[in-house]
Amino acid sequence: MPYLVRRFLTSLLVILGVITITFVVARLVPSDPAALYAGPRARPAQVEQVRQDLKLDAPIVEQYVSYLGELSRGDLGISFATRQPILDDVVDRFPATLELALLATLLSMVIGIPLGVRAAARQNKASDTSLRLLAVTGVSIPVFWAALLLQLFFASRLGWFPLSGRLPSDVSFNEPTGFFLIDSILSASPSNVWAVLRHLAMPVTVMALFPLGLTTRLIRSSMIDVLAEPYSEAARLAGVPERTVLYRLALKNALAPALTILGLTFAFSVSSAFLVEAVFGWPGIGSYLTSAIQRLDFPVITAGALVITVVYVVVNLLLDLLHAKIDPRVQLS
Amino acid sequence: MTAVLSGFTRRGTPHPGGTVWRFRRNKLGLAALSIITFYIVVAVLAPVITPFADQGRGTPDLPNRLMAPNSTNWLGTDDVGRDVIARLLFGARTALLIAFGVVSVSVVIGVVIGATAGYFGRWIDETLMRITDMFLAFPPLLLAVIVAASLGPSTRNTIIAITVSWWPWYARQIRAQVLSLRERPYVKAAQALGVPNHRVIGQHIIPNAMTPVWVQATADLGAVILVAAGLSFVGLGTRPPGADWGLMIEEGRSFVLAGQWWIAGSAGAAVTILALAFNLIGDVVHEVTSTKAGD
Amino acid sequence: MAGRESVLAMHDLRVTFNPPTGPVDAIRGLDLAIHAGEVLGIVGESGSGKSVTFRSVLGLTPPSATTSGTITVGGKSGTPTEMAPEARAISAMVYQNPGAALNPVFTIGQQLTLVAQDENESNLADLLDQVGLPEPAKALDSYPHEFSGGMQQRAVIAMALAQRPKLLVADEPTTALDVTTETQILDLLVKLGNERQIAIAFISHDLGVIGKIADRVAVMRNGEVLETGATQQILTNPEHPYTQMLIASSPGARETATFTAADEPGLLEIDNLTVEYRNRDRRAGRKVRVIEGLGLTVAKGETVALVGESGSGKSTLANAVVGLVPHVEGSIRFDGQDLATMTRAEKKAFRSKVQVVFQNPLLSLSPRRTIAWQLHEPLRLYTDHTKAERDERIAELMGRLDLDTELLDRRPHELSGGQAQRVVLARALAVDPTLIVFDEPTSALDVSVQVEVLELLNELKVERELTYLFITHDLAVARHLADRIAVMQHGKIVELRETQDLFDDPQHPYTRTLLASSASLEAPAASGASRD
Repeated sequence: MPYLVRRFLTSLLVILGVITITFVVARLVPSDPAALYAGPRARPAQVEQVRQDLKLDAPIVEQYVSYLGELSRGDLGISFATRQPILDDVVDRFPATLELALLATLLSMVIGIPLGVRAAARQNKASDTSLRLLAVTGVSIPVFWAALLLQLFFASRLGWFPLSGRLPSDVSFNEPTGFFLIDSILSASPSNVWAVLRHLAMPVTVMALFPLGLTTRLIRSSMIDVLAEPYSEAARLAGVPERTVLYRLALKNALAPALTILGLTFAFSVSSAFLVEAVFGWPGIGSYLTSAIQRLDFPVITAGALVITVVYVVVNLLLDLLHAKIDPRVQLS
Repeated sequence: MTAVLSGFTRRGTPHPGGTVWRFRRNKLGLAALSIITFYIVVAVLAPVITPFADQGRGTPDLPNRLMAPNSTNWLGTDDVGRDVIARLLFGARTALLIAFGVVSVSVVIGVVIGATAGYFGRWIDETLMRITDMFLAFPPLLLAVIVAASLGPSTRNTIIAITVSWWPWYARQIRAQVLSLRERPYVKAAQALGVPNHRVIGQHIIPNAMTPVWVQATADLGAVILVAAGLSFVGLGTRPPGADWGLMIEEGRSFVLAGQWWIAGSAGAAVTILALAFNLIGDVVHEVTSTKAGD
Repeated sequence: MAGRESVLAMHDLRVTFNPPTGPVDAIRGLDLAIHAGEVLGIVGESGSGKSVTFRSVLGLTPPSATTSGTITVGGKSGTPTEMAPEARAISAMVYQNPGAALNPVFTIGQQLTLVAQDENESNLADLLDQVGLPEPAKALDSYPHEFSGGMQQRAVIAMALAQRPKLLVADEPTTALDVTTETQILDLLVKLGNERQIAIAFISHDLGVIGKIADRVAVMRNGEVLETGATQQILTNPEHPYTQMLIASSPGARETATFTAADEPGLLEIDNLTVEYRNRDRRAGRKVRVIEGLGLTVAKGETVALVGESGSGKSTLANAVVGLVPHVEGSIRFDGQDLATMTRAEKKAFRSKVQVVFQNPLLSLSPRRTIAWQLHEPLRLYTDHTKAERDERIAELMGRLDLDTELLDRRPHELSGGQAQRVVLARALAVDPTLIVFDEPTSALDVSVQVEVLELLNELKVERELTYLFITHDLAVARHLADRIAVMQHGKIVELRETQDLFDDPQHPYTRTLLASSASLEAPAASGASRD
């Protein structure tokens, strides 16, 4: 079987597994979902009615099958709290989160890769040590706390950036893509772009902290391994300039393992989104989840987690295909 | 910790050039180790150290709410008047309990599943690893979130929730180790000698497979502390009046912008420093065990 | 000789490594010159400093190492640090492991272009042609992993040539290759050295290989050159006692073993044996036959050597005989009993009667257990001895194998290779086996240790009435031990003869190739060996 097809089928299997795990976890709920749905003042008969309506009294296998059926039709269920189809909310809010996660990933790569290469090239020198300390700090700060600190200093004290939200209330433009950075550029108004950037600045910085530390550390360690290989030594010995050895010959080898990290980076951005968005009042899928957690809105929690995970699986699939393109050996294994 | 670092000679002194010996020469590692030791000591001795042990356990002192740092309450008091230092000390107990709880349970599950899959191979391996992959498919924090949400918030459930999303990493790592050790001549030699399977796994493979796992586990302690803090920050972890740093940040959050920074500020610093120390130790242990002496 | 111009000369070279454990003198006052167009063989056992010498001259030692002495390159002299750039400018390196010396994510063409000094595309293809790579144009677009080890090494040599070196430093360039490929690569190096007037520093642990390629030989030990001289002279008339010992202990120089096969029915009877492995990439469940229809009988008291190159299936056979790998066809009978139909109890008895000794002794011992623990294990499994009785038995074995009982408290990494191999032997002998299967037991050991171990094996065999199945790639080692030799190729035995007969009158063409390419010190070939 060609590598591509095989990899695609595994991803499908993994997604089915993810659905199953979320389904099982959702059934672990100690409280009665029907009672939750019916609300605190519902009479037992009403609860019973809800139970039948939601088919919660059916055998577990039957529930599982109909759950799969609904999912395959794109039906993510109905929120206990808002009684709205979850899919609509998710579609509405997803671009906001994706915009944050993609920008944070991009930022961490653009800064983290050169930093990692530089640290590896000056292994164990003072600048390497301080870079490493910085990188370790990046992965050790709780994101939500970092968010609070930024709010305190740069929004509250200095007033450089808005405290929260995605746009000021008095700014609006067409949203064809849902990515405000792109939409604002399309609106051809520099003031719109400026407003969007000011709002993006703090959340993106906070979300990039962890991936930045991760990227720097991993690029550093894989670069050190690659530079110790005889082929790097041979290139240096042959008089290939150091810049070429580092950024062309060695980095391509070091990037292959780093791609896996790109997946992790994205995953961390997405999962930290749910902490960061809560702090910055960002109208994305993360804050949607947080408020669902506070209201014990289980269908939303599981559906939200499912959507994020499926996106993550797809991202990993794409990265693996890219990996196979960079490293010619991959397709064989 | 000594199991991690097999750098001792027969007489119990560090082997020159061995792992322990090299660790001792690493200033960063030693600094991190002292920080961790400090946290463990103050967590154990919390009731003795602070005069406000009751407040540390959760008893409010409403008349003294939101006091700025002063000579009695060195880091001030929180919104129900509890001494922040006392809360931090008791919070250290929660954090360390969760960190060590999650990592040790995950390692045990990971060893059992990973070693079984790696040693027996074939369909056993296929099945166990496909299941592991499904758990690994979730972004790290997310599976913990939905498990914690369905079990309900409490410290114990936090440990369960994080463990559910953590064990697959060890299972995969141990499997990879076992797969390569399985082909080693000393394992083949033991098999040829007729040593029974359970003894080959237990006596010959697992002891030699554990070094990278301990390295990973050390580094993971920091990550677990961060995840636990995140869970309690969104209300899925330790419940009030329990002492927990993530909870303190959440509770102090609304006062930060009003100028009462000390509740969230000190709790966040406590998390960061401990996570930093664990991450550094992980780094140093990794370095010490992966490079050869005399290189 | 002294009148010839030297490409590179070292005078009083000293290298000290400074690991945190304290300084280690690796090179102690070394004088060595290499002349234009010559092949200088540098021979020594591991740790003799033979690689460090050139690495330090090329500035490849770690920054913490200190160097001193005088290096002369092209008429200019200076300290090693000063002269490293000059030395690098005229040198290129060929490495032991060609797979690691090529960057896996770039094509051969891309890599050549980067290191080549003003060569255009067609010249690059020419270059690949000269190093004997088939289809040079296609090879330019290939990735290293698409090549075999021998082809990779040719590509590495091409990379080296593209730098137009005056000096080629070849560090064990054929150690990772099988015998046939080794010969081809040696011929290629000699040819290119002659054609392009490149001096070659050929570093090897193997006197046999050095004898085939070098014009002059330098023998190294403990960071010093013990003696230098023309190859012929060093091999036939060595002055230094260490060189004499090296040559004497090279197995090929020894007399043939003189054990005769007892005329008894086979202790081990292998009949029509076929072993398959599942292919790694699961393309339509393809299976690879590693051993196909192999038959072999080993009589009691006999030593049969099984000789073949890597990939011939000989190690798989070792694993199959001791029951670690299942076979799909044929049978293995031990003492008349079929391995496949043994009961649990019979299998247990079989496991104690048949022991196996693997290649690398240090890897054959559990790294975290004491030697005592490892020796107790078989006795715990197969005897009802008390701890004291076991201790006594172990002490007796240790004594017989010249092992100090102090070693009992140590762990494997604290032993030398020779000690570890004796411990492995002691473990195998602990349960009084009748048949021992050896899988390349000496190839990981230094030459001087090798001979001791082989001698010991011969003695033990007589003393304890053992039967050996001895698997090796080294005909010289086989000759030293075996009553009969089976030559294996592609999972089959192509020739099986009494040892002396096989050497005197090989029948199968493959046996002849093996014999021809096998390192032999008795007749060192001239350096201009012609290609087959």
